[in-house]
Amino acid sequence: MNESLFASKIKKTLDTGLDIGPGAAARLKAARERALERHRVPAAEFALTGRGMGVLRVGGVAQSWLRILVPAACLIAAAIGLQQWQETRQAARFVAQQAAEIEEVDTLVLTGDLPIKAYLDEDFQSWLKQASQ
Amino acid sequence: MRGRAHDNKDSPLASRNELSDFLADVERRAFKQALFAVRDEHVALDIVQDAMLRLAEKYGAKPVAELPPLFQRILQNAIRDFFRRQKVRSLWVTLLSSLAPRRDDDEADPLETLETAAGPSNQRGPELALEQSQLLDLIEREIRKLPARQREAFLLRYWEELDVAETAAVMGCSEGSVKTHCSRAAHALATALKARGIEL
Amino acid sequence: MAKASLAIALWLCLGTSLAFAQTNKQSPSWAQLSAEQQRILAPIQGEWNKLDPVRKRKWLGIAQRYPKMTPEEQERLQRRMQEWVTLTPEQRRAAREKYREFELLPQEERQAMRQKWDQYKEERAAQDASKAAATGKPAEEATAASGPAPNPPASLIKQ
Repeated sequence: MNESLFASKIKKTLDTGLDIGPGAAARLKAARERALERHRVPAAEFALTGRGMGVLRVGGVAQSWLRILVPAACLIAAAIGLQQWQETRQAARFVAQQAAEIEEVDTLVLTGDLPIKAYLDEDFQSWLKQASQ
Repeated sequence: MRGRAHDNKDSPLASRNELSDFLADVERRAFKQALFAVRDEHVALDIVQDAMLRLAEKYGAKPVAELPPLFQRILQNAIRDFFRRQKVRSLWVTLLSSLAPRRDDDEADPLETLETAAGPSNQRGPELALEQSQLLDLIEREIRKLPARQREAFLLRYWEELDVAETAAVMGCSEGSVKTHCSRAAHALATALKARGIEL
Repeated sequence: MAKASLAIALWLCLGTSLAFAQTNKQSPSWAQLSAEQQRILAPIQGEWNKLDPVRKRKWLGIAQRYPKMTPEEQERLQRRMQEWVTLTPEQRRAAREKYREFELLPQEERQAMRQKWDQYKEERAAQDASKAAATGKPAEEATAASGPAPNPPASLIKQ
């Protein structure tokens, strides 16, 4: 059989079934809008093109040593910058890890049956111990 | 079939409007796809909502052309997550998988062969003018009955119009497997329709 | 020569600005949050800038869970958020520890916890009322005078 021909007819039929009813359609629309609210474009990536290279067209006779020195200095500067960046990334990982550890328990405390002060009330704690004896 | 740019280095990032348009276009098909898999409207809606949120948050800045396969992968993952959470395996599947080792790609999945064989066995004469809605119901029912991998491959390729490479990437299998799943699905559907005297 | 130093300066700036961008990412200001995040975290908007990066990150994580919560959970979360951020770090730590202790209790005891709390409150209220009656002072004063362990200040007692 001609598979793609057959399948395109199936597709045509399936497309007629997209009238899913007002309730579901409304919910889908709401979900779409909610997703768009969350749409964040991350900060534009820094385009690493060969920026330093254009400055090497230095005129003059005794300037040849610059051609070695300048790229070397650029590399060092880049290395320092890179290290700074890596350190902050490590700090970021640390932050994420710490945050993740308390995220779950905080969620449970804040959404649970008991009000916050129940966990803080020491009289309640001792009362519980008494009550279970 | 929709043309799609594969070299996206210079494609502009998806704007909010483009994301909105894409979601508006795909949401109903996504809902139906989820519905075929989970057979519950509320769950299907939750799954689609989840997938949309994940797309907007994680991949909102991708080029527009990359959104369809990304979204499909997120959707399939969300459906799979649902099943994992449910931990529902029908007794049938458990029995069958104990009879033969199930491997995804090319080996015959015992459940596949069984389900396609158990199509409608009663022979009816050709039915002439079939109402469009009846045809739709029938086709949807047969799609629902397909084994999950066959259904995924078929719908991704022919309803969402991803190409074979993209479908393979979404499903996490080889291109050969995609073609096999598609042809089995098409064969199963055609057989089921023919048994009711329908030739598309 | 000037151009060369400019190039060096630019490379240094590159690294620093990437580092700065990361720091900003760690501690977003309120204005940098998405509309949805601001909506969910509205009760703590006033405190947001005082939070350290870890706490901010944690709240953003909680905000991410918000859509999946039941309406009841969502309501509780928003109601208690503000109280939570104004606790001292020790109080928060104590509350978390206490929650984890509760988690270890058997199922039936945990489920009954809410009722036990209500019961405790009733008994406490009754005690305070009778103390007040005995000493002829208003209830709050009576408890403040004789309370054995420090309670959270009255301003935090909502619900």
